[in-house]
Amino acid sequence: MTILRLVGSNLSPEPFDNIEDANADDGDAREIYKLLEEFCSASHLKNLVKAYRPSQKEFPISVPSEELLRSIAKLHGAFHIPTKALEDILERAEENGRQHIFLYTPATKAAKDRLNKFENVQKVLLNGQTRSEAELPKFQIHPKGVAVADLRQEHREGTKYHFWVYKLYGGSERWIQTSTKITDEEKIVHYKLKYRREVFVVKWHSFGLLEIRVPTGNSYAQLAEYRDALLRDVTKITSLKEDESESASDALTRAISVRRPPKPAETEEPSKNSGVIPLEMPLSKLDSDARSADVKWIHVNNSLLDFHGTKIRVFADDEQENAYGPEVVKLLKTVRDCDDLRSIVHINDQPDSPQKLSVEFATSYSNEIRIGPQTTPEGVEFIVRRIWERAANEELPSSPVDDFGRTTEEGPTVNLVGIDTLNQKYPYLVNAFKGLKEWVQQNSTVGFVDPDRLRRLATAGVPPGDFAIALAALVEEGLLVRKFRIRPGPHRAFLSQEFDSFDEILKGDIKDTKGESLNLDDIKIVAVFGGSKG
Amino acid sequence: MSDEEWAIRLVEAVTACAKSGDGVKRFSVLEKARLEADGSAVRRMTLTTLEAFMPKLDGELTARKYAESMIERFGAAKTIFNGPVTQGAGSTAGVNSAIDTTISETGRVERN
Repeated sequence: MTILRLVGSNLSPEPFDNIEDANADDGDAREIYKLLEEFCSASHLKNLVKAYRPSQKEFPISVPSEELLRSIAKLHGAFHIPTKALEDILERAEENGRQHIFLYTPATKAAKDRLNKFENVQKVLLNGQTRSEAELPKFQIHPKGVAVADLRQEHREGTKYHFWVYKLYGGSERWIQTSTKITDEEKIVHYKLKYRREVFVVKWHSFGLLEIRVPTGNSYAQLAEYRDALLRDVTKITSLKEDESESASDALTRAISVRRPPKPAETEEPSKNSGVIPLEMPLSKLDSDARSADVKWIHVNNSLLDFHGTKIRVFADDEQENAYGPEVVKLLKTVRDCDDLRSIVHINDQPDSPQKLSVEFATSYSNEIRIGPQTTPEGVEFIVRRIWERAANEELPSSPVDDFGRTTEEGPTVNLVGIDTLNQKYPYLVNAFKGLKEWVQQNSTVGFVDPDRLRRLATAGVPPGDFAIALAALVEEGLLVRKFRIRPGPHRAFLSQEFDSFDEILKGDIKDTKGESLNLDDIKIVAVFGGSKG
Repeated sequence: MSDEEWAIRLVEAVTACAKSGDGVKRFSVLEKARLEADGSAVRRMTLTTLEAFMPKLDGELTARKYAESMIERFGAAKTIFNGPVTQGAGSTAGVNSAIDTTISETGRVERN
């Protein structure tokens, strides 16, 4: 059973400084928690709890996602987590995962140039307005109809790579089958109108790949209709014709309407004249990767192969299992034509918890992949980069996301020659350094702090492993000093004094606040850190 | 014994203390190891790392993998702190630029 504490209930208004929190609607809060459950991975939830919890004991993180969600609801209800932080994390997560992704490449160099020119994209998609003039991003929990949620461009530090993301929300009511009653002569099916929130995304990668992302849970025909609606805006960008046809927003509004039956899937090539062409999924190459002992990131769970006109389906019993064991690979040596591929892609985008993302290649449409829930932008980028490389038979310039496909068995091979490499290989470590460096500068005379609290104060969401390395390096360099503090016993306050070494604790006759000698079996010791002038 | 082997042994010893629930023993183990660490910056940093956070090892993340990853990052950490001395990609501007780049809770790389 899930118990969610509602925003602002029975609480003192004192701790909050965000007026939005005070006005947040209970229903909205519940809806946000539901969306967090749907879109965010356990790592996301853990980071959120870790960054805002007032005590570790009350809000543990080595617990199932349901428990983490309860903690988030509690922390949000008590105004420890601002609503904006929930929205921010949700905004990123909802764009990635549980989606069909249609892949396209530009048909001409002119089309690629137009898609790469963000001013042009912005002008077309926002009707001449800039992002700030259009007041984007607009996060919405309960969108009504179709609304533009964001259009943003991002650059990858140290590379020429950039991308833009165009996001639309769709909110509509759907007929959902609730029950079926069959009698001798009758079959009665009950439907109920239920609200559904959809997130549609168009993403352009500067190296020449366009993604159209449509949420899963739609019929084959609806999927095609949404895809085609979004392609309308792409056509406007590539053709520079602004007013000739209706926008994606208008077409989607019609498509999500419950009041009309869905159109049958188009037989005509939908991307015709759109300036982009569907990317032919390089199934055989991906299948070959999965069979290779040298390629670690892709494991096939289910594949359909063509063996001289006979279809062979190879699949594992468990959906997490690799169907291509050494024996199977040997057996299938001469079978190369692959028709569809369901796989598990191993992605290390969260250093502490490598994810296994379910990816289906070309099961419904030849240029489409379907990805499982709760992944990250970098995780998806890793996959589409591999697809593009295999389809184009060309290697892309290296990117930080390329390392996300490394499996834990592999030893990282790093050439630490340039700072770009550092930045790409160790973004968390760089972030930990930055946060600690700033903290030391601003708090050089503040007392000593335990590492977990320091991690929260100086950085947010940096994994403990990376944070500890930065901490140790700064101690080694003399910028930070490590000392020890003692708690005399359970439920007792820490002694105010700090000790330079463990020996000092063992050999010194240390007295507690009552003047009694400490019993070493009862004490708790923690290392604490502070600026060298502290 | 190499620094790496030394670190692996230490991670194993410390995580064994965690399993037994003996927090004081953990620091005792680390203090004894400190006597062997003199002269090696990698060993000293390994000790501080383990004083700060107890590694959480599971089936996939063994003491060896944890120690290897830790030592690899020490190399990176030293480079970030000291700053490369050559021009070009490794210039001081590059260091600042890297430090100005952060990664958000969602794993997104951002430029400040």
